[in-house]
Amino acid sequence: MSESPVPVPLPTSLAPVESVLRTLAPKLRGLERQLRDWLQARHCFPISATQRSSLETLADDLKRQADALDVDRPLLVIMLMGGTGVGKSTLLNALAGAPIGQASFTRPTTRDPVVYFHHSVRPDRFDPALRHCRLVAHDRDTLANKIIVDTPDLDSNDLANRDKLLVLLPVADVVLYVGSQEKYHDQIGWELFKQQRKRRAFAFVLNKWDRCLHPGASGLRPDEDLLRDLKQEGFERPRLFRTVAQSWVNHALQHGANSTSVPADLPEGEQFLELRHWLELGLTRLEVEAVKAKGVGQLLTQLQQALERLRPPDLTQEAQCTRAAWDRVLDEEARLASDVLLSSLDPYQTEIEHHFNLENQTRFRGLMAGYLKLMTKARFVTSNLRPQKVLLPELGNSRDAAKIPTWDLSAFTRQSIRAAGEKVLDQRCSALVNRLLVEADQQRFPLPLLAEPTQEASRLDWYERFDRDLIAALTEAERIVTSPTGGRKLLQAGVIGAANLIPELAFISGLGVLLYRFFMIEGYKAEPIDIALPFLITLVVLMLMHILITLLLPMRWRTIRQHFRRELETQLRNDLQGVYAILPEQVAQMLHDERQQLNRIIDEVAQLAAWLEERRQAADIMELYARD
Amino acid sequence: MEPLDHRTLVSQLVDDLNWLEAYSRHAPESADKTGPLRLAAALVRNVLGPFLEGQPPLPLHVVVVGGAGAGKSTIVNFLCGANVAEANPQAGFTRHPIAYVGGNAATSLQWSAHFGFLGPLQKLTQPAASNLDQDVYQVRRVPTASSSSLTATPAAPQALATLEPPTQLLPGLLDEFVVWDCPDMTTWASSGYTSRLLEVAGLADIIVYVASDERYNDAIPTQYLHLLIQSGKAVIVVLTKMRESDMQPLLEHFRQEVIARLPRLPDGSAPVVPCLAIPFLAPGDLADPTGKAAKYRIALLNQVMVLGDPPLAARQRTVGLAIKCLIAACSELLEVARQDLEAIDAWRAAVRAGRAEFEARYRREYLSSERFGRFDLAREHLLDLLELPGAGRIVSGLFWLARAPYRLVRSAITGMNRPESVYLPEQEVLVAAFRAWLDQLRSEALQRAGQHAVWKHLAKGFEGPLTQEAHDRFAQLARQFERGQAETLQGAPRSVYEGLESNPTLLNTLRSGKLALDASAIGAALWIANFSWWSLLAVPLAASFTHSVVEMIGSQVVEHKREQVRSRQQKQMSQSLATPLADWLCHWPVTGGSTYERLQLALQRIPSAFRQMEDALRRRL
Repeated sequence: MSESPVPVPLPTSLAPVESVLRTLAPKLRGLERQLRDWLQARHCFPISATQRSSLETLADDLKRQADALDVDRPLLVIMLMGGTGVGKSTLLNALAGAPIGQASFTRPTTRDPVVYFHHSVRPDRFDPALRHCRLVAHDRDTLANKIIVDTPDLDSNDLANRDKLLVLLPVADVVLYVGSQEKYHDQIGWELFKQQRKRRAFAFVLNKWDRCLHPGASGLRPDEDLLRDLKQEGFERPRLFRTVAQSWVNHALQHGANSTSVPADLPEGEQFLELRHWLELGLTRLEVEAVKAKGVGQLLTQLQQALERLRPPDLTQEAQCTRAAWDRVLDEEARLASDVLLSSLDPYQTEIEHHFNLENQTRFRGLMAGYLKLMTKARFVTSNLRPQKVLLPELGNSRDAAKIPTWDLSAFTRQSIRAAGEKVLDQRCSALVNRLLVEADQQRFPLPLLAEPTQEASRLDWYERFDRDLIAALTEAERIVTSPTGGRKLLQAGVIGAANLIPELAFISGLGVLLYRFFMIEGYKAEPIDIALPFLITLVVLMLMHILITLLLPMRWRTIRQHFRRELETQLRNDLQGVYAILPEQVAQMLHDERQQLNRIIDEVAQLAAWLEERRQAADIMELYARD
Repeated sequence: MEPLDHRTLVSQLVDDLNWLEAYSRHAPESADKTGPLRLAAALVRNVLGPFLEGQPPLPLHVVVVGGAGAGKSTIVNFLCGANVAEANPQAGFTRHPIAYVGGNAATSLQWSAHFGFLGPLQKLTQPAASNLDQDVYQVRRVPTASSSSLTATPAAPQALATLEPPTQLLPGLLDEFVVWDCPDMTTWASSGYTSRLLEVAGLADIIVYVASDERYNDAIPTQYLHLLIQSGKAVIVVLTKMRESDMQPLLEHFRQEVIARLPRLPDGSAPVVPCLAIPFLAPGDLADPTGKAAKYRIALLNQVMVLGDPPLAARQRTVGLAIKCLIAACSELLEVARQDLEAIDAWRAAVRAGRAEFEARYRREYLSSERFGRFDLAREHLLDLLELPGAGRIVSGLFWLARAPYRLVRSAITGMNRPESVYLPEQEVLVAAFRAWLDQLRSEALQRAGQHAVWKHLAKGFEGPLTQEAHDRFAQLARQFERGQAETLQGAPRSVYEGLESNPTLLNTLRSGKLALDASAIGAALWIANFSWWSLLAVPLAASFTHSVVEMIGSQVVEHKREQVRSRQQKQMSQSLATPLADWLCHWPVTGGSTYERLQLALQRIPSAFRQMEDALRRRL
């Protein structure tokens, strides 16, 4: 992995790169906006706090880059970074040829960062992070589009300094990593370098070079050691300058800032002049552009990687498995719950039978109806079923509503559900949630995604749902019993027809016989028994018919219990599945949508990166051609 | 815990501390506790243990520590009075501790071998370069003025020793001291070897902390200085490399910035840390510690001598402070396990909550609707017993006849009562409740698996052996419970009437009492009705009234017993089923040879071991 801190050979023509940089700005802004929108939106797939903050940092960087590029001549920010006492400020002073940064023996020295810039640059063009630093303007045209920033240390006991550095660092295009003989690979600085090396360009300074040259020592010389470390980190040919900045500062003090002479006591291999030359002339406008472009490229790569780590998994398969597993659990649950509800309904069989009897009555007319009404009333004195004040709102179906006209069925179903609920169903409800979650985990469905919606579903008003299911099941069971098909239907119709007809016929014919005797037969003296006879006959017929009805139109609890149980189980299962079983697929679908969204952003980032790379290569290609 | 002999005590304590150190390495949040734990182990192993063994105070150990390139080797040379340690420009060259021993001290360097001197560090038998990056230490012999072998290099010290009076005042520091050169703690590679540094620092009687003008206010070396002060070591600070003119202001700044912020000692006093400054010296001066650099060397040696004289007192001070500091730091050391313990506590709370729910379900779903049918039989039997035997049967029969209307009315009324709804059999309720309990724990563990390793361990356990084991255990306990309960259920209803059956006097008294009541009630009814037709109404009324009173009393007795049985059964279930299960689940994470078992053991043993050690040391001191 080779990564050079300074851009590779540069295109000779400036135009493509520059136009690229300028046109990049709005694209970056668009990307930033998209990223922020995405961050603000609600997500089903969890984003950890660190991921979120790193994405926010990336969004900030996008904005920063966009602002920095949206000018004619982008500014290159070169930042000095290193431990306290390695000589960052001294180095800046040596470059400036004047004591612009504080340098002293007390550690840490620099607390306020210093920004060294050309007077032609208006400070309001600086990144906001730089505006609060100490600003020092200069008039060296060779450094015209570069800003050199001296930062506080990163390793002293004054931890606030480290924070200041971390705020400044994102602004840097090139980091000048400054080390001394003691600190050239200190842990804190090295960690920071490793963390940043993928993000920006690095050049290295080994200051206090005079101290690195112990005669007759074993072990590596610090510069060799540093080069070896850098190689490990992927810098094959890093740009390393060995300097003795203090000598240059002293020299400048004695001979003036613009002296072209060289200090006398410089050790062998001192490279301060090369550093200055590189900063002034090596970093041409072309290189600046290329560094900027590379910086954007690195930022996009980072962004892409960060987003790819956040891509929610595809859970379609797991969702299907989970649904299948949940269906089994819910079937079982429906079975048990219907058992419980049924057994809680058992004590109310009097009411239920009463209800059915009332229902039954409505199919009869005339004498039979009156008789049945009387009998029902006599039989169900103890029943709690009372005329209903308001019509049941639950029974939306008008046909059903018409069927149960005035009797309150829900009063006792509610009562029985409450009894069952307090005893059993409440606990079963929370147990069911846990059971489902465990099942989902066994199907490898990520639990945190499912826990919330499942808990929410369990907090629905299950009493009301059970109530509705119970009534619906009762109605349905009744419908099945009362409207049979085939032969039974005929039989029923026959019985009802007969029951509606025969008592009246019997009465009329009894009365007819009586009248006939009274008027037609001479000397007929009506005994009281004769007068009572039509009524008695009618009564006997009614009783017979009643027995027939009870036998042929069974309206007893025992008869409908099985129908009812089956109906109830179906109702409950539908209800439970309607609420729970859809959840895994819903979640998977949501994740899928989020995935799509994120993919769109990632695609955009990749497109932008590819576009940038293409332009860079196109520019490189120019070199392949001979100049006319 | 009964007192252990000190060898066992020391090795066990060292073991526990080592284990905790290794454990803390794995958790990112406790990484900053690794150093203190290692130092604690080193203190116990290298100072406290040997002292209890009766090791002689000589030689004392001077350990030189500091950041990379701060000038440790220079200071070692100063202490030894010869150019023995090569000063090296490569930062972080030295990778393992090196002991410099004098001719005499070398022979008396008898380590107490029971605890493994310097713990995991092996002694190098062959001389090796200082940058050997392994868990080793090496011993280099230095010919001193007082030893006979003066032929070794360099020759200069000998010549100077005879020439200059100050060096004669300090005849061979190495006679009484072993000087240790340590690796640094600041370079990026140092995280691999700071444990070696801490191991030797634990051994030290005197620590020389070297800081250059670049490093004196650096965060990481200062952390180590704090750590060493907190472990009760005597520390001398040497500041190096400043310009000569900056010596005094730099010392001032150092005192103000670093020394003033040092932590307090366990007795609340501020630590006394002597500070010296050695300016930047030319290579020529550095090469000649006893000559050109003598002025700085002597000041340093004086400080070392002051702290190390007499040797016994110095060693006793080292030991005494070490144990005090260990005890003071104990709770902080054990902080590594705080989060684990919190997680385990949270698990236990969850288990207990589940247990409460389990018991509540048993009560609500089963016990409250369980009638214990035998009690109804027992009530019938009890009332039967109160009827008159033998010839009295006729009288009883008459009363029975008189009460016929009452019976009719009563059966009609009881017929209107709803039977208890929702009856679930006991076994079914128990199994369902237990499954719910396990499911709840499991889903909790799964949901919190990301929070802490304990929950992850549990979640994994549920997938593996835990679920099956829990079910087996439950089945076994439930069988036992059922067996125990069968006896009480048969016994309790019988006890309702057994007392009466075995006590004929009481029975007869009650029978005659009831008879008297019935008779007097009927008599009163007849008297009030004045033997008119109304008597036909009054007599059954009176007979019914007395009977219902008796019935009511009998029911009360039976209900009371039934309630008793219920609560007894609840208690029994809790005792023989819920409690053992909950205990087993609570302890599951810390059993079966898991990490948490070891952790708990270490946490229990370390504080008491510290205290025992303090007692043992107090006896010696």
